[in-house]
Amino acid sequence: MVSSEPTASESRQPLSGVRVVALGAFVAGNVCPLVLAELGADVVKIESRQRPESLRSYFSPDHDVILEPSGIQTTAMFSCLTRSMRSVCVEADQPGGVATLRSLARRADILIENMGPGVMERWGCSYSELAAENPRLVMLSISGYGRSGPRGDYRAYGSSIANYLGLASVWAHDGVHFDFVAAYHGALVALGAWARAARTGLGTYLDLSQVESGMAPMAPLYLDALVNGRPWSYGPNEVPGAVLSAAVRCAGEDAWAAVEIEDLDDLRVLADVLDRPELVASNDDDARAVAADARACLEEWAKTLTPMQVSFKLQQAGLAAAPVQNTEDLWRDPQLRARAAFVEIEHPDVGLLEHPESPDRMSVTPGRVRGRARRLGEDTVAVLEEWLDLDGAEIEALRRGGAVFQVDDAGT
Amino acid sequence: MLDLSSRVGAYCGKLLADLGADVIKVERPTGDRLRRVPPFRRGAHDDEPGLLFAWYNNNKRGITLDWMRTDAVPLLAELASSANVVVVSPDARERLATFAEKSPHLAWVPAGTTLCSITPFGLTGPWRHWRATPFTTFASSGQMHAVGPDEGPPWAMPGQQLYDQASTRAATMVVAILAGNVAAQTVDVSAQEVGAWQYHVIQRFGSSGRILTRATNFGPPPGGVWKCRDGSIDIAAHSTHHWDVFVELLGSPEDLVEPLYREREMRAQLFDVLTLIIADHLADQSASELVRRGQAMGLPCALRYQPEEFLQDEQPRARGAFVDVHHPDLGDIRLPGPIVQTVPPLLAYRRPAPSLGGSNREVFVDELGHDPSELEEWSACGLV
Repeated sequence: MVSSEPTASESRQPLSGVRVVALGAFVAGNVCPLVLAELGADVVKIESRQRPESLRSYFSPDHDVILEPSGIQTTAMFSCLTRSMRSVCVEADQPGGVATLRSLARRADILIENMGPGVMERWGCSYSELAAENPRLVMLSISGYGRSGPRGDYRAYGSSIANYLGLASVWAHDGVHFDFVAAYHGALVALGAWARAARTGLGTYLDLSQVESGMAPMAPLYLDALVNGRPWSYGPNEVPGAVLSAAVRCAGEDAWAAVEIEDLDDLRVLADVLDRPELVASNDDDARAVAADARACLEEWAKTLTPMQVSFKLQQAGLAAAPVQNTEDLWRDPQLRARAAFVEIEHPDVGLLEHPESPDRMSVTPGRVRGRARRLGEDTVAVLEEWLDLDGAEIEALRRGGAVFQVDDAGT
Repeated sequence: MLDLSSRVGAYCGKLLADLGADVIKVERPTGDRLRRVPPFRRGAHDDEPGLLFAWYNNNKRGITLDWMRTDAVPLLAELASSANVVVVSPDARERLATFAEKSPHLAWVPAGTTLCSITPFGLTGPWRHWRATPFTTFASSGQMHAVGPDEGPPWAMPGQQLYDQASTRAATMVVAILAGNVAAQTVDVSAQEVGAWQYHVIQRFGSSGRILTRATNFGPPPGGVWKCRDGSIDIAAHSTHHWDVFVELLGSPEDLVEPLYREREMRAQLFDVLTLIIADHLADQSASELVRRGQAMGLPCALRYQPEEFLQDEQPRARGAFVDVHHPDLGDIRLPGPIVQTVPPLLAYRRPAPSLGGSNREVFVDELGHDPSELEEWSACGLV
């Protein structure tokens, strides 16, 4: 079980010693620094008491309102998305607030932000201003549409981008996919730029949009239109080039298995498994004609079996199949359990929760949860001391002026 | 970097190649499976790779070598001796002949080279041998079950987006290992685990006991998709402020100016009634005009496009979000451009995806120093 705060005594990880300032919010703005934190970076999440980020109060159907002792709200989701980082509370609109932010940026290797349009500039924290004081700085700006162009100042959530890029029209409404897409790409390119800075001393400004990072995994849906002018025309669960792909109903409540028959060889094997020798095809045109019959036979066969039975029987024959797992199946999942993909984390306000452990498996320096999510402002003094070498009197002056906030030992 | 990956790991090498790595894609002489996956430019010909191959192998060089044969091992060892990273995705059908089951290390990969394995389920656990496709892996990741019509079936996300997510995390680890100055090691990425991780950080059965049901929308009105006279828009309204802006955007109509509606819970309870009222207000509006005005007022709203409609939008065009490529077998084609725009430049387009064995001479003869006659021999016996 993980409950302690991140400590300096941990064994070395790839990003040990790398300092990251995270002025990020919601999913993309937290997942991106989280990935770096669990590879070893010292990630300082900047928070505000005056304007706590909306994820702290985001509606949850799973629990009542949770308050930290300081009166700030938190949620189970927030505690998961901000684990492994440290929380420093800085009020940019108080005297000394912006100066503190800029001092932190001066000591940072990487700064990640997804603030609203114009916010960083208003604070005097544009890349050119920060780079003037720290030329090695890698600054990653994550936005919906990019920081230029006719839609460059638009506000966006993952769901906006799923609709704009066309995924929602051909699949379904989705809230967070393109948040993760942007976050993962952001972590990668920030590290790429950091590697260059380490070699050359040259910093980089990265304007990462959910639109352009999302176009990459969407490429399979765009290529025919881009090259041939033909729109994406596949129905739900239809896989281009496959003889047959379907989610078939199995025995049980809302139980399904996903099966894909990739080619003619697969079709022969399926005919064997189903004991339907008439399901033969000698070429792709034949296969299309046989596919409808094969599907009907498969559905008939599967309806008395569980999703796991269908998957095992088809896997034993060498075919691609898997249960369509619901939330509970995934929690029980024998594969994930065998790989120790979960970790328990105790949080003083949220309680004991099972989190997914970092999936970044490296044999010598594995990614891992570094500590529970911190209360708002829990690490302010420690970071001001470690990063900025401020002494007690200097920190006290900032606290009295309202520029920074540190919770006391009781969390208030 | 040597790239022996199959579909699940193809994007990892592309990302690293975009960042400037010298990535050599190693195909068996029969060609990568993605070469035969649609869509095609003209039709399925042996000499014409599918467009997915052209996309995922942009910026890579390409050689052929039948790594299923034991006589390939000395050549693999030669190639690996100068590589920082070898990427593999051993799968059920095309298992690497030299893949040691008991240890996730390939014998020919030198100790100082990082071995990055990207597979649907990982190198350990009871499902490590399972055959999988993007479709079946997505089904196992938890993300599919709650998507689609109420009565079923659940719908899988089209494309191979989960594989690409796994490849992105793999590329991130590779850069972290190389630039972070830690020991070369084995990386074991499971696409299913990456998908499950994403799902679990948002939804946790272990804390709530709640099984997500299929829903076509989330959040109370005005969140969600609305039909306008010339298209559809999506509204993301997560705060009270967003509701206020939305009402103002519609000119504060009487039937929506109701203080009770400002409460999220009230709007959830009145979902059906409010949906009817709002649908009526939006039906004769222009979608593009509504998005422009709504955004100017601070409402997170977006046009809802078909994939090909997005490609015509002014924003990606203004940002130069495409790259025009001349491919030796395909001619001039347009592909999505860089994933990020940077100052100074960090990613660059340098070369099209390789023809089958296009760099054989360059790599085996010019760089490894073999005699051209050896290459001919290997070719004659089907090794290269």
